[in-house]
Parts: sequence; C-alpha cells; structure tokens
Amino acid sequence: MSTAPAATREPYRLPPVSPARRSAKRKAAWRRRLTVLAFMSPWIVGFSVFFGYPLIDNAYLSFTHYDLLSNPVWIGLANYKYLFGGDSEVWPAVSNTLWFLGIAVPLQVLFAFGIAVMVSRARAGAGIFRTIFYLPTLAPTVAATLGFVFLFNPGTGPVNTLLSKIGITGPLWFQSPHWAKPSLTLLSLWGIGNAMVIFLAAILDVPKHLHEAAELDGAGALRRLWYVTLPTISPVILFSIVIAVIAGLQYFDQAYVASTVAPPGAAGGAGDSSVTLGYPDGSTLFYPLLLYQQGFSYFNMGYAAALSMLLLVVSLAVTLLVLRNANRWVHAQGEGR
Amino acid sequence: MRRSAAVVATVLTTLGLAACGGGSSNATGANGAPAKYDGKPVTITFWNPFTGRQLAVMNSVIADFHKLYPNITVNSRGGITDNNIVAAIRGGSPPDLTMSQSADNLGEYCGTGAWINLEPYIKRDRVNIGEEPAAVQGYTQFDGIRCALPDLADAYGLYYNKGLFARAGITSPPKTFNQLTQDAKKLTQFNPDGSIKVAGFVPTSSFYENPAAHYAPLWNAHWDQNGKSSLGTDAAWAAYMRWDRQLIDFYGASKLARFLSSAGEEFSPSNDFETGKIAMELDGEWRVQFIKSDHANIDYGTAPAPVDPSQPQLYGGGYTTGNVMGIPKGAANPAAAWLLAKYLAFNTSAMEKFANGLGNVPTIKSALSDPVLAHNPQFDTFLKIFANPHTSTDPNTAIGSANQEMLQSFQTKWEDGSVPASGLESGLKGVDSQIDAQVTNSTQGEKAP
Repeated sequence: MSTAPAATREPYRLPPVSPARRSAKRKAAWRRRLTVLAFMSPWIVGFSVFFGYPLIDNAYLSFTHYDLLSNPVWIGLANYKYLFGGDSEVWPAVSNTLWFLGIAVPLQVLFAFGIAVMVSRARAGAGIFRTIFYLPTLAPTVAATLGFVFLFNPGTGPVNTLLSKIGITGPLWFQSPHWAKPSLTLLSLWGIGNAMVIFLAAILDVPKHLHEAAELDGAGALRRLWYVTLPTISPVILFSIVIAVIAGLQYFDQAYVASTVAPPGAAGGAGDSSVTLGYPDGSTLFYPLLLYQQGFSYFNMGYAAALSMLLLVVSLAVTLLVLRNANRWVHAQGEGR
Repeated sequence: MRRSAAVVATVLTTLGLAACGGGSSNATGANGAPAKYDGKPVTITFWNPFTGRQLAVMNSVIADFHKLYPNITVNSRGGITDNNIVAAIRGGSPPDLTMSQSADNLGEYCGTGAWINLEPYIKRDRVNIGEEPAAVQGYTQFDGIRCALPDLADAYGLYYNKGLFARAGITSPPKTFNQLTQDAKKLTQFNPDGSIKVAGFVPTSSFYENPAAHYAPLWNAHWDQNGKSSLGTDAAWAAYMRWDRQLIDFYGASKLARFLSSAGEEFSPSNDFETGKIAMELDGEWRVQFIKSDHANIDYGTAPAPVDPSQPQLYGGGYTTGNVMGIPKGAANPAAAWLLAKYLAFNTSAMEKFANGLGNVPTIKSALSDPVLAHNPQFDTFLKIFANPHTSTDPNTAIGSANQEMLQSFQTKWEDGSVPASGLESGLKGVDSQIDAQVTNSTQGEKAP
C-alpha cells in the first residue's frame, strides 16, 4: 500500500489549544497523580516508616557504638572488624544456621511436598487428612516448642518412654549438643502445614489431560510425578524454597524457647534466658539468637546492627542465588518457554 | 507573617517557662548539692521486679514510708525487668525510682549515666555507706560511680539432707571440696539398671544455682586482673573446673544428664533437694522460706559452702548479690525518689520488715542482728555467711554478665567431655580472649574522641 507524497497533502493540524484549556488539562493530570498517590500513600507511609527508615537507621547504627542508653558514637568499621575477625561466637552461630539451611530446610520442603502428594491421592477423607496435617500450624510457636521439649524430655517424656518399651534407649534430644538441632528439625517438620497446603493446591491444579497423555504413553506414577507434576508446579517449589530459606536464616523463636526451658530444672517459660541461649553447648545458638544476645542481653546494639546488616546481605545473596539457578529447572507458564 | 512570628514566640516562651517550672525538683542547690524535697504533695513512680506475695510485702513497706512522708505518694509497679527499665529511660519518661533484681547491668547503668550518680545525695545527707558490708558496697558501684543503693541481698551456702547424711554415716557437713566429693559419693544411690536414684551433690553449672560465679569466692578465683580477664591465668579457675569434672565423671556425664533431665523446677515444691533426689546443694538463703512454704517433709541443715582444700581460711564466706535501686536519668522527681531509696536501703526497721517478709538477707549491718531473722538457725547461717569478710561477688563490668555467659558456654562443653582434659587451660585462655574482645568492642565509643 502506497501513501501520497507529503507535499501534495496539507498535514492536519490540531486547532490551537487555549491557555485556559491547557491549564485545566495540567490540573486534571495533577489530580490523577494525586489520586494515585493518595491510594498508594498507606503503602508509601508503611514502607518508609516501618522499613525504609529503620533500614537506613540500622545501617548507620552499625557504624556506631550504641548501648541503647547513651547517644550512638561513630566508630567507623570497628563493629565489622569485630564481626569478621574478633567475635569467636560468630562462626559457631553461622555454622548452626548453615546446618539448618542444609538439613532442615530441604527436609521441610520435601516433607511438605510428600504429604501434599499423599493427601492429593487419598481416595477418601482427603479433607480430614488435610485438616490433620494443617492443624499444627495453628499452634502458637511457643506452646508448640514447650510441648515438644516436654514430649522429648529424656527422663520423663513419652517419646523416650515408648522407645524404652521396645528396648531402645532414647537420646537426650534437646539436652544433647548432638541431638538438639535434629530435635528442632523434627519440630519444624511437624509444623509444615502452610507449605503443604500450597503444594496441595498446586498439585491439584496440574491439568488432568497432561497426566492422561503421559499415562497413554505408558508412564507410571513415578514418571508422571517426575515429568508432569514436578515441572508444572516448579514455580510453587521455587516459592516454597525461597520462603523456607529466608525463614531458616531468621530462625529464632523455637530455638530461643527450647534453649530457655530445656536446661535441667529450668522454669517453664520463665527464667534467665540470657545464660542459657544456645543450650546445650551453643548447639542452638543460631545467627539471629547471637544478634538478639548482643543487642538485648549485652546492650551492644551497634554491633547487633552490624550483625543484622550482614544477615540482610546474606539473605539477599542467597535468595538471588536461588532465583538465578531457578532458570534451569523452573518452568514458567504462559511465557512460551 | 507577623501573626506566625507571634505564635512561635508565644509557644517558645511557654515551653521555656514550663521547663523552668518543672525543673525545680531537679535543680541543684547553691553549693552544688542536689535540691532537697520541697515538701509539696507529689506522686512518684517506683518500678520493681516483685510480683505476688513479694510485691505485697514491698507495698506494705512503702505504706510505712508514706506515713513518714504523707505528701509523697508512691505508685509502685511490680514485675519490671531490666529491658523495661532501659526502654523507659530511652523513651524519655522513666519512673522516679527503679529496682533491678541483680547488679549484672550496673556497669551499663552507672557507666552511661542512665542511673544518676548518687554520691552528691549521699554526701549531702551524710549517709554512712560503711553500714553496708564491703561486698554490697562493691556491687552498687561501677568504676568509682555509685549509682545504686542496695535493698536486700542473697547469700549462698550449703543445704544438706540430715536423714540421708545419717543413713550414709556422715556426721557433719563438708568443709572442703575434697570432703564434699567423698561425701557425695557416699550419699549417691544407683538404681538396679545403673541409673542415678539419689545424687550426693550435682555440680553441673547449668543446674539450679551452680553457675561458676557462685563458686568463685569458694576457690578465691578472680574474674580479672589489670583490666584483663584472668580465667586462664588465675590457677584457681582450673582447680575449680577440674574438681567439677571429676565429680561429674564419677556419675558419668551422660548418666548425670539423663538424671537431671527429670529434675523438678527449681522454684517449686518439686525442687530436687526438697524431694530428696539430691542430698546436698549450693543454694541461696531463700530456700529456707521455700522449704517452709512448700511444706517439704525434709530434715535439713545449712552450713557455709565448702572451699578450696588448699585455702581453708576461706571457709565461712561465700557468694552474694542482691537487688539494686537507682534513680534514672530524666526522672521527674529525683528529690522525693531519693528519700524513698534512702528509706528502703538504710532504715533499719524497713529493712528488717522487708527481709522478714521475703526471707532474704538485709543489706545493712544494723539489721543483720534482727532477732526474728537470727532466730531460725537455718537462716542464721546465711546472715553469718553474708557478714563474713571472705564473702564476695563478681565485679560489675562494661559488658554486664556477658563474661559469665561466655565462661558458662565453655564450661558446659568441659563438663560433658567435649573439651579434653589437656585443653582446659588453653580453653580458659580462649574464653579470656573472647571476653577481652567483647569488652574492647563494647567500649569502642568511650575511647573515641
């Protein structure tokens, strides 16, 4: 299709806009912007007050000596030097956290996925099973941890009593430096209801015709799981891994409560937790507990701020690493990949 | 514009006047001494750690104070922790008087000025600090700044089960740690399956009142020398640790851990000493009151704790610590608060009433001879321990109780055998380095220009 030469046709010109109309248009544009801003303002205020400002202030405090009682004093990189070269508690805390990330987090994802697969295949009573496996999530963290410490008490707990009836001497669980982290892992596996429900929804959302086609091609249950279900729900797996990794890096509540109540003769929920944080033998002193200990037990808030900045950077780095590697195995839907 | 300027000027003038008016009770006198209470009706707030029955006793003592100073009304609030105190001071609206259940954070309070220096008040009112035993004088100051007054203390000694002693043929409580080990072995009973039925004495540092701080005076072990942590250089620490591990090895660390896993809660009638599961324990004077309240069916005696066999002269002393009171920086009514603090800390009848009600040790010498307290022979032991010149406490530090926690962390590894016997001294030196590094980091700002 050809077009007429420009010289032969007079281009259409808009009639000149009057200054009053221009002004009205500008006002209307501003009104639109203000309306958008007004709708966004709760988020902007919340983000600035509860995230932006604390983050900037925290970054500043990490370069100061701050004991909560007197004004922060600028000390440059001293806190970071102590973090990377002087504090002998940092590496044990990091290695405890890495243990949790390497062992507990994959187990949580696998366990939640496994339960979801089983519940999705239940021919009857799926609702009941779903409820049963989700129920632990409703238990408050502190109560659940107290319950586990009681259940796994080596001397009086029902778990070791049952084990002894079949001739097994149960371990010291929360009171053994070798068993404390596995005990916490068991506790975390017990409470995977949220991840299980998300996996279940994703599994039930896998198109049936894909399974039917695979079945016609002779694929068994395992092959269908591997070649159909897993690729289809891979974005959900990625989501669960990212959430679990971040939660693992911030693991605090259960370890705090367990190390407070597990020591012999400790009061149930009370007591001087500062002396027992990380009990036994520092085996449950995860990185966030060390941060808490420095900030709120030793009133060394400047150093605690430095610890938290490192945690932020590591969390971002690990999350980015997971997301970057995800391109290899996550099948995004609707993007023609 | 002119109207705005007038409004600003009015506001500033009002604020200025308000500041002048509110400052009357904070102002210092002509000779630099703090201003005295002007006698006008005032309500002061007093935060303390007590709850339940103990708070009721405290409030009855405060009621006596109100009779003495009818224009000062005290709003007493119990259940307060150090975190509450710090938050209130940071928030700029602290109570007029606060009390902490231990002196662990006094280095922080005195060192930062969060609790005001009480020396000017003490000097002005000619308060005789010598009325307090030396150990108490020690734990109510930091680095020469006396920012706290004491109000009752705890003294630690040995509790022993007379029935179990008689059955084992032991006639008197041990005076040295060697004797304690021998007696503990005689008193220990095992079940047929080899598990512990009754433990003679449990030294595990994480159990009940067994942290190393409570043993330090009994071995004459010092926390620091020349401003540096001395756990690895003061041989007394290694001697204490070796004794500790030897007794644990007698039971077997794993067997003892299993026995302790079923230990009753310390501050309840199921306490293992009260139920007869352990024959001897190191504990504070409050256990006398607990045993009475719990109606524990136990025939027991009290004695000073055993000491290092090579230093028998230490026998009779022990560990002590106690409640400390301070006036926070920014308190609205420091003059009236000082009167209450002085009354609680130095009025003999107030001290006796409070000590009797709580079953704790008074912190002034004039109240130590109170006939009601001394009448109970089991409690009298602790009054004597408290007054003994060898009784001491751990020094206040710039890092609070972090040094104790770092030692405890190492000690639990030592006790369960994770640290080889040959690694004790080097391990203690490692803890020294850790403590010194923490002190250096925590005092960085103070060294900055």
